[in-house]
Amino acid sequence: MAPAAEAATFSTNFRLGTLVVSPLVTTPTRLIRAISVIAHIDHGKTTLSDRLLEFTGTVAKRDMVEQVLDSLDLERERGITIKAQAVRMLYQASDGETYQINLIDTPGHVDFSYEVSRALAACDGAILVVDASQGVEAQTIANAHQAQEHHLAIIPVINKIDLQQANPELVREEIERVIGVPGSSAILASARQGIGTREILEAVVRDVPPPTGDPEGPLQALVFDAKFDPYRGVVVYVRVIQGTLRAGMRILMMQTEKTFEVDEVGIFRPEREPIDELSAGEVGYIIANIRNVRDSRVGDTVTDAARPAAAPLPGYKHVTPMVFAGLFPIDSEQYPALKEALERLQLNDAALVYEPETSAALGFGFRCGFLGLLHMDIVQERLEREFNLSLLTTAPTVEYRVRLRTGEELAVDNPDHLPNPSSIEAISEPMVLATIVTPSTYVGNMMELSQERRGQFLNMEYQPGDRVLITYRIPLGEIIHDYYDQLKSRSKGYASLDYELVGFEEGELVKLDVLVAGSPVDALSMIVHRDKAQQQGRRLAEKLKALIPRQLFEVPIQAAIGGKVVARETVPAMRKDVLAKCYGGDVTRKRKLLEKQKEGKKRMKRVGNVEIPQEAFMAVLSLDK
Amino acid sequence: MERIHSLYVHIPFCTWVCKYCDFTAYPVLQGMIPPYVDALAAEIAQVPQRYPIGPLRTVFIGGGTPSLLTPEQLARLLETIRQRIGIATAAEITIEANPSNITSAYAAAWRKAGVTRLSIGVQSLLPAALRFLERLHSGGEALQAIRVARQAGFDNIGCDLLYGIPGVSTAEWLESLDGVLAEQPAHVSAYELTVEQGTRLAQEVRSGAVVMPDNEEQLGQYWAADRRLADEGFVHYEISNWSRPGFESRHNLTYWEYRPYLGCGVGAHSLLRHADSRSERFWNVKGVKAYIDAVKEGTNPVADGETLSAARAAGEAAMVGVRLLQGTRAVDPFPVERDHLVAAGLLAPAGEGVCLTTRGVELANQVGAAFLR
Repeated sequence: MAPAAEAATFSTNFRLGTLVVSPLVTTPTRLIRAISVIAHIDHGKTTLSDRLLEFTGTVAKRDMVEQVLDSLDLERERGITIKAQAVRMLYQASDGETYQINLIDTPGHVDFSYEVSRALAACDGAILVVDASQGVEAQTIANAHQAQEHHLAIIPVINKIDLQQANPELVREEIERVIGVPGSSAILASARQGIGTREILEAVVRDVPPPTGDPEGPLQALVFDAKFDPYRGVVVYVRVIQGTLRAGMRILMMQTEKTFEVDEVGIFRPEREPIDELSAGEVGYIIANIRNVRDSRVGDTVTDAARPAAAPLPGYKHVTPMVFAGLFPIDSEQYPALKEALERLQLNDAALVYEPETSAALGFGFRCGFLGLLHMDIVQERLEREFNLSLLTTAPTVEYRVRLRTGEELAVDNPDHLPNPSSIEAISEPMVLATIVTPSTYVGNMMELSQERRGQFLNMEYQPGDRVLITYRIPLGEIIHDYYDQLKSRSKGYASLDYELVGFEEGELVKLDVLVAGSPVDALSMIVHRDKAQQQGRRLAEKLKALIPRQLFEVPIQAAIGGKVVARETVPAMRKDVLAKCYGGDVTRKRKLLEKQKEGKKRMKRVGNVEIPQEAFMAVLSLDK
Repeated sequence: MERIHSLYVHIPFCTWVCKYCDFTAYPVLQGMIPPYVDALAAEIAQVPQRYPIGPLRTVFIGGGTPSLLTPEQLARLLETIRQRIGIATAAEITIEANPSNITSAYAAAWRKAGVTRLSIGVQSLLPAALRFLERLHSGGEALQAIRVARQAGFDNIGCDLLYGIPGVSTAEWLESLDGVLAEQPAHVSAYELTVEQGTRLAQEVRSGAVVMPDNEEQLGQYWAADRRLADEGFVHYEISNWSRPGFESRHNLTYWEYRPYLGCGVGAHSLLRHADSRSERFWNVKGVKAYIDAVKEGTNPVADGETLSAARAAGEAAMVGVRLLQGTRAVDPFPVERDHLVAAGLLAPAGEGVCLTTRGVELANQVGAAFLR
C-alpha cells in the first residue's frame, strides 16, 4: 500500500475507533485493571503516578507538568492531593496483551480519608508506596488497612531507593510485619528517576484481578468523586461495577433518589474524552446536567432508572463534618458576596456545610463544618483567592452533645451557644482513636503529649526498624488544638498520626469566656475541660495581649468561667505616633505611609472599639507551650 | 485651576551630608553649582507658560544648603523669579542658612537681594550633640550667626533645633533651647530626631551602635520645650513649629492649609488645585545631572505625579490641616470621623473648627489616617 493511502486508512480507523492504540476501543473485561496509589504524605505517591502516566504514553513527557494529577492550583502549590483523580492508561505488557489500567489517585491527608475509602472501593488493587528512608508511617498503615478491608490486591513499592538514607531491606521487613504483606514481593523503585516503573506495571497486570461484573446486568456504578464544571454542571466520577453506562440513558442516584439524563460518558486521558459507553469494570465520568455536587454524593450508586439494580453498592456513608468554625467578612458589606461564594464552592465540595450565624462581636457570617483543619484552611484560602474576599475565621471547635435536665439533647458546634450551666445535665465530646507511629526515642514525648491532651492509653507495639505503634483514645477537641504540630515538633518530625472518630464520651466541660475591654467576645469563647480551664484562660489572655496591637486606649483582657474572672492582662495604650516634619515634599510619602497602616487595620475586625487581628481568633489553637 | 502664589526652590548641595538627613542632598561637587543655577533659572523662566502662577506671596529657598550659593547666584535666581513670575509687595522670601555660611557680607547681600526671612539650622548648642549629628559648626558659631544676621537687618529669624538626640538629657536640651531663645529669634522649629530609612543613622540604630531615646523621653523633651516656648510668648502653631505672634512661616502655612505651590529644582514637589477640587501633585527628577539635562532640552523636568480625586484630596487636606494647632476647618468634610476623634479625646473644638488635643498631638498620625480611605 502507498504511504499516502496508509495514512488515510490510519486516520479513518482512528475515527471509527478500531485503532489498536486508541483508548476509545472496547477492552475485553479480562484486560481491565483498576488501581489506586496509596501512601503516607510525601512518600512519593503523586510522583509515581506521574511516572506511570509518562511510561504508558498517556501524557507525553514534554506535556508533563510536575504532578499532572493535582489539578487545583492549591494542590500543586501545597504539594498535596485534595480531590481524587482518575486516568485511563493503556499498557502493552510482556505477555503481548494491551491492558486498560485505570489509575485513581487519592487524597493523602487524613482530613480526606473518606474520599480515600471511596476511591479504594472503586479499585481492585492498590500500589502501596513506602518511602525507603522513612519506612511505614501512620497513614501507610491506615491506608493499607483500608485497602485490605476492600479486599484489594496490594502491590508494595519501596520508593526513593536512590536516597542515601534509603534502607529498603528494613522497610521490606516493616511491610511484612506491620502491614502483613510479604516484604519479599515489594518492588524497589525511584519514581523521581523512573526506576521500577515497568516492574510495577507488570505486577499490576499479573497480581490485580480483572473485574467480575456482568456488562449485561442491571447497572451499578460507584460514584467516587464529583467536580463542578461551570459550563457542563457536575462531572461525576464513576466505576462501573455491573452493567453498561451509555449517553442518553436515564439514570437514578440510589441514595439521593434523583434521576438525570446522561448527556455524555467519557474517560480521562487525563483530559476528558467522550466515549460511547462505559461497561463493567471501566472507570470514567458522566455528565448529566446535574447542577449541584450534593445530588451525586461520593459513595452513591448510579443505576439505570428503567432497569434499576436490586440494591445499591455497599458502604455508602454520609460525610459528617468534624470541625466547625465561623467565617465572617472583615467588611460586613461583603456578606452577600460571601454567601454567594459559599454556594458556589459547595457545588464543588460536598463535604462543606454551612448555615448563617450572627455573632454579637463579629456581625453576620456563617457557621461552617469541615472535614478537618486542612479542609478548613483550604476553604478559607479558596474563598479569599477565588472570590476576592477578606475573611475572618474563628477558632475551630468540635461538635458537643449536651443533655439538658429536661432530658432534651442538643448538638452544640459553637461554644457561645452552650446553654446556661444550671440547665445542663451532661456534656459529651467526640472521641477519636489515634494511632501514632514513632521511633522509640520519642515514645516518652508522645505519651506525655497525649496524656496532656486527656488521652487514654490503649496499646503500644514495638515493630522492626525501631518503630513503635501507640494507640490512644483522645478527645477530638484536643486533637484539633495544635496536637499534630506538637506531635511533629516533639518528635523532630519523625512521628506520624492517623485518627478516626469512635463516638462520644461525657466529660467535665465548661465554657471559657473572653472579655475584651469589658465586653464579652463571643467568637473567642471556648469549651475546655474543667481541670485545664484556669491554665488555658491564663494562657489565652497572655496570648491575646501579645496579638492585639496597641490601641488609642488601654485594653483589658479577661478570661472568665461562669462569670468568675480567672485571668487578666492589659494591652497598654499606644504612646506616640507622630511625624516631626510634614512639608511640601513630605505629604505624598506620609499619606502613603498612613494609607498602608490603614490597609493593615482593614485586615482586623473591629469589636466594639478594639481592632482585633485574625491571629487573635486563632490564639486558642495553640495554648500549649 | 487655583492660582499659585508660593514657590519653593531646591538647592540640593551640602558640604557634608549629615547622617540623619534623607532630603535630596549631594556633597558639593566641583563645578556642579553654576550649571545647576543656570538650569534652575531656566526652569523658573518656563514656569509661567505651564501653570497659572504669581505674583508670589512666598518664596522659600531650601535645601540642602542654599547658603552655599554665592550672593550673586542667589541674587540672579531671585531676579529671575521677580521678572518672570513676579513677587508681590511684602512677600515673605526665606532662605535656609547654615550657621557656617552666615557672614556679614553674605547677610547684607541677601538683604539686598530681597530676602526677608532667615531659617538657620542651629540644631543644638551642645558640642557632643553637634558631633553626633556631624554638624560642622559649633554652638557659639550658631549664636554668632544669629547676631550677624540681626545686625544685617534681619528681624524675621527662625532657628531649627533637634531634640531626642541620643545621650542628650532633657536638661541639656532645654539649655540649648534657652541659649537660642536668648538671641530673640522670631520663630523656632523643634524637630524630633527621626531615624529615616536609608540614612547612616538608620544603619547605626540597626547595628545597635546607636540607641534612640524611648517614647517617654522624646515626648518629655517635646512638651518641656513647648512649656518653655509658651513662657517666652511663642505660639505653638504647628506640631513642630512655634513663633512670636505674626511671625509664622507663611510659606509653610501654604502646605498645611493645602493651598497650591510650585517647586523648582531637583526632586522638588508641586501641588495644583483644580477647580473641581481634585488635586494634582508632581515631583521633579531626582538626579542633578538628569535635572540639568532635562531643563537644557527645554522639557519639563517632572519625574512623576499623581492626581487625587476631590474626596481623597479633602482627606489629604485634613491630614495636613490637623497639624495646625490653632484650629482648622479642613476636617469639616468628615463629621463622622471628627466626632469619633473628639469622643476619643484626640480632637477638641477650636473656634469654628477643631484642633489636636495634647494626646492628639502625640498620636497625630492616627488622627490624620482617619481621613484617608
